[in-house]
Amino acid sequence: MSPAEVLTAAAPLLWAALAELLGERAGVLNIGIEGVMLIGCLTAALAATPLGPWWGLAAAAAAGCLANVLFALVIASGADQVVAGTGMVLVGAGLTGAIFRSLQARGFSGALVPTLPWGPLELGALALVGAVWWFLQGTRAGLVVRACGENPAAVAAAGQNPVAVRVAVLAVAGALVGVGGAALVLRASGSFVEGMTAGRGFLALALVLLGRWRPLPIAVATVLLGAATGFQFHLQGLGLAGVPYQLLLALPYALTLAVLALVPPSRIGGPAALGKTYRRQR
Amino acid sequence: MRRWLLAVAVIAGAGLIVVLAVGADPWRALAAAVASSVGSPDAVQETFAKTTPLLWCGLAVALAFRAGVWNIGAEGQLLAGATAATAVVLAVPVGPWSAPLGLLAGGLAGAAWAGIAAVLRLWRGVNEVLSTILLNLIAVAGVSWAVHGPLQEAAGTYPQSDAIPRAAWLWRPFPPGRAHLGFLLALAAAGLLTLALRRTGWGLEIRASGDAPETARVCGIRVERVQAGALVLSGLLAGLGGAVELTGVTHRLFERFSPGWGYSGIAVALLGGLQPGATAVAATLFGGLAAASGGLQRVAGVPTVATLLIQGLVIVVLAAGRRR
Repeated sequence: MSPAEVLTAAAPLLWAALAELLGERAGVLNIGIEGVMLIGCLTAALAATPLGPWWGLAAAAAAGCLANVLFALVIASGADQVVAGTGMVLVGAGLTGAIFRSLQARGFSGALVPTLPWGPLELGALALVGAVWWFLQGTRAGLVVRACGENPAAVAAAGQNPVAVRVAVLAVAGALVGVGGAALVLRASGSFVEGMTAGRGFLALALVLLGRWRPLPIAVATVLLGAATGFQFHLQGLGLAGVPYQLLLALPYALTLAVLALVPPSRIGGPAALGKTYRRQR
Repeated sequence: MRRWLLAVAVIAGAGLIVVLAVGADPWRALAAAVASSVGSPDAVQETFAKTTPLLWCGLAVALAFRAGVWNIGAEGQLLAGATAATAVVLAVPVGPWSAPLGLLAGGLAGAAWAGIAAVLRLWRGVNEVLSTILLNLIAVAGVSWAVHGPLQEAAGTYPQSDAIPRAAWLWRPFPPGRAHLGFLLALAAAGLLTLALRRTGWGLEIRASGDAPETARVCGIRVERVQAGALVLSGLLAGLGGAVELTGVTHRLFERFSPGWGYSGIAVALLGGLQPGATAVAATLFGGLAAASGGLQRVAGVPTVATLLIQGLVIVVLAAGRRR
């Protein structure tokens, strides 16, 4: 596998993981990105088929943004993040599944989506690593976002509105997750298949934890995992006897679980208010 | 009461939108939904058959959430249970012990699958939300491997296991309807769980660990251990759900054995306010929805996967509507 192919395999995960990182640094644990990513996939396929891949990309970003804003508003009302996120996973799977199957009945196959050339999505993901790092560490807005992840009440006391900050961050993150979904359709496969994210949103969550909430380590872990996933396809291609294909599918998840078990993520480094419900005090 | 009204409103509203979106006649769709869920004795039985795995998973989720552990892994635990039940029933000589042995194996396998997450949480501090989700994905791949490999039918044609012998089937009181003993067992489990949570010291520890972990710790409750135990027991319940579905309804293992019951169990438990009794009512409501979706697909061309959307919306709306 060439480095270019590894990047193509890793790009969807990288977009999603960096999006999850932004949300988590603002204090929001978003399990729902698995569902949001699926929505991005289907939207990309639907828009790209008649309009071309660039419109597919734009539409996927818009749809991801919209879906994540819905999640953000639910969170803002005081909902538990884990529960609402799980709901979003089901909404994403059910919505894309139902729409896709009804369209299939009317002749939309989801195959033959026009694709993008190598480059924009892969290099864009790499550029995003730097951009997220710069935003979080080098800008005043990034400081406010991080503060929301550590102590939203203090942010409120300083005159800012942490709920609004979280909604804004999740809106941007949703667009990035949508792009990640689009990267799966418009680069890797050129088609839409039901449930095609196959747990990538969840892997993004694990990657944020493994990279301890820092963009560069997250990127390194993601590229390594992307290489492992690509290696798995490579093994299948070689027709390596004795290793059943179905077990190879479990490889990225088993690997992630093993790494989580071997490298216990210390509490230090994680945003203090991560996952905690915050509602505006009146 | 507000919870139930919200849930029914979401089901009706989202259901109507889906029906209109696929271009079906709403009245015909409604008639089909009613007919296939409560319209005849067999339809009612189908509702109870669909309720059964939902109730086992709902109880599993309710127990874990009450203890303050986010078990998102009922899906994987159910699959582990179904796989173990298949393997054991097919491996041991046929007899009256076949079904009980299958259920035992299923429960233990579910507990063991959850046990991985419990051990990782207790010893390594691994977040159970992540580990249980990853275990779900691994379990799906594991079932797929099993039915292509060691458990594949002797004929070797389809990716499915051999049918288990009739002696291992769970009792069906009114065949050909598909309601089976597993439903009654689930109701009994709900009753037991209610008593255990309300009346025993263990139940108090569970509730204290979930509601006020700091206070519980001060009172000498070893919260982490109680939660790990609750996670294992939760896996046992979900595993039993898988074993019961296998011996009661499908009688064989195949890919996509579960249409997402483990995840639906979260909706069921939340609607039931994490109370076992109310969870049984919620499971019946969603069981009716699942039975109705079968009829909706046949008559009105509504894809059954739309029920996932509706369940997801119910979770989101209930989460948003919750006031503490």
